[in-house]
Amino acid sequence: MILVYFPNTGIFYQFTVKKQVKTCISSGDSLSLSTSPLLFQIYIQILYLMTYSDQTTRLPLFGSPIVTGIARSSYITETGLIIPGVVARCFQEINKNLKVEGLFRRSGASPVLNQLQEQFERCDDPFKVIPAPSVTTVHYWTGLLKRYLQLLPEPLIPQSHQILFLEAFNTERPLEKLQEVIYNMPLEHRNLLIYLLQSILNMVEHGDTNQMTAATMAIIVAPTCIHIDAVSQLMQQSTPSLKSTPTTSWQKATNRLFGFAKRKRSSGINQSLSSLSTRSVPFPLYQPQHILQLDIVKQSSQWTLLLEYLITNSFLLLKTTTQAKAPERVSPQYPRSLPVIHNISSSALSSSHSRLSSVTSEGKKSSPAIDITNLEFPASRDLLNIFQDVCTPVCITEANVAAVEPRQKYVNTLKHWRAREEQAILQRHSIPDKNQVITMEANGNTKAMLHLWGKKSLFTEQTLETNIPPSHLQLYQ
Amino acid sequence: MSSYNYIIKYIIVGDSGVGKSCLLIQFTDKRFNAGRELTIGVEFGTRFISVDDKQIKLQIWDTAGQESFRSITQSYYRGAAGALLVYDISRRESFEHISTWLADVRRHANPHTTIVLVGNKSDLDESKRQVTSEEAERFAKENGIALFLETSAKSASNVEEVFVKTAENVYEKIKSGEFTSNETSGIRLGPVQKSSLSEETQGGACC
Repeated sequence: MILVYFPNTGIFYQFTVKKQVKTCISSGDSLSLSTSPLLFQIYIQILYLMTYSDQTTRLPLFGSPIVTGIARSSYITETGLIIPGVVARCFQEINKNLKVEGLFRRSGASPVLNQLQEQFERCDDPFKVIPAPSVTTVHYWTGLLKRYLQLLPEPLIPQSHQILFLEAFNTERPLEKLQEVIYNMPLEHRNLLIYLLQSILNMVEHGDTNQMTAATMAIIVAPTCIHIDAVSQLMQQSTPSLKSTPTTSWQKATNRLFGFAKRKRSSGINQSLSSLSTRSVPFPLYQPQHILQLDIVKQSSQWTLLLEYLITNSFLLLKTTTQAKAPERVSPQYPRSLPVIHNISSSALSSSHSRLSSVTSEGKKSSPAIDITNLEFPASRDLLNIFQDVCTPVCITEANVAAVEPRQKYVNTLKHWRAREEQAILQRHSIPDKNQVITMEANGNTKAMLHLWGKKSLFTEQTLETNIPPSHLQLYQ
Repeated sequence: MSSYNYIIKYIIVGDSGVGKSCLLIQFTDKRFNAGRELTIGVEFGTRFISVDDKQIKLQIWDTAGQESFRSITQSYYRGAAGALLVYDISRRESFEHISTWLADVRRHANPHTTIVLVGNKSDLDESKRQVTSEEAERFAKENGIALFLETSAKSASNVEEVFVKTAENVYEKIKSGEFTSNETSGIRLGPVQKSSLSEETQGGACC
């Protein structure tokens, strides 16, 4: 039996699963969790339970992880990628309007966009959303898509992977390295990223009419994929404290500032009559944080180049991903997964999406019991054998659980997890920045889900040694 | 020509694709590229102009309109003496968003910042127009925006005027003492002004 705690609802869910799956989940085997389609599906089922068993625990679509979007309604693309229905719906509209000038670049009026978002939030089936007459242009759909990606709690390119991407891009054979990094991303992120890149390549092919090139698309998509916004907000937050306490970031800022001044002086720069460049910054008018901001701008240009590269090579990415997946699929332990695609209402959809099945009807929302035979994934019948009492999630209060088991046990479990994580990271020859781990933690309204995934060391040594608040108890065994 | 009396900082804000960068390039380099390139974060350009026989160096920060860059660009608002809010007269949404941009500028910039409303792409055919100049003028009046102009970065119509009139307005504020030269006001004295000031104070006796 596995108990999963969802911090945002304060409820423990109890699942009974077959032994081998249990071993895999409880040992925090992140690799098999993120690469096994079956485990991915189990994960989705748990999310599904969360979404539908009780109206009060329902997660919003915008602002929740990708898996929540998939749990609400999912689509499998013709290239075999599982993506959230809302993204598929946006691209259904976008693909009808590939020749509109400034596609993806321009924006619609924000009140109308808000209304559209609200509609998607209310309606479980994105393909049943009928946009208001005020949704006149395709720019609302691109706006909605950008907003969805921007509001993901974990960026589409997860923070823990961002350094790996940049490193891979700066090597001599970037394509190979990038393929590897993408392959190591969590499954739902990988799927969505590859789908997005391929769709963009498709748009760029109409560049002569919509005026969008891979480079301009990359400028739009890059900050959305890595949440550069969040980075700069962190910096702004840290700015006021710079003055009062001499921190390392303050020293860093002053070093940069003076380094900048020295460089400027030594090069003896003369402002030309008119210049247009991000480099020739007249530093004395500006505060240290501006210099830091320029670093962000510089970093985002790096990302822009990286994204442009990925867009133009997106079809190669998919090819190797499926090849790499192949050995995973013949694993004898699990039943065959991702088998037949039920093409139920393909006529209603754009050519690039086939619908799996419809779970999101109004009737099911009202009854907490889930009809397993109607579940989203075709492998649901296999899942039926795995989940034995899936229809009755047991609600256990925090107090109860504290009484049931001593604290030490889950501390050990967490330590064990972490050791395995670190081992896995070391195997990949790179260690993510600790700071990044901290910001990831700050993100988490969805810690439980991240943990089920065996996300990269959310628990730092500190939290393990000192005090673990109840909300940090993620997986209880 | 590195002698100038003042440096004045401007920012240009507005929706994506309204022609902010084109306005800047037309003003600084006198050329027009049908904009297919997007701005990453911020870019900036400078040009000297003279107002009232004073040499003024305009330092213009051109921001990215993409929403995902918003929090980066906002940090550049501070210390701007002039703010150009640009919309596209052929796209109503971009005009409707001006109130958001205005609120952003008012929140992050100096309270005395000279705000200018700019309706770009006036070269387009009248049939494509979605925002009348009367409406924009009314909006400017109602919201206490000092200036409103329709420009075309393509034909260069009114581009010079926008930047110069803004500078004149800022210069008036300097003369009236509303702006003092410091970092937060976005105005600094140039080397000439410093020396001429000292000359004036020293030379007062001999005149």
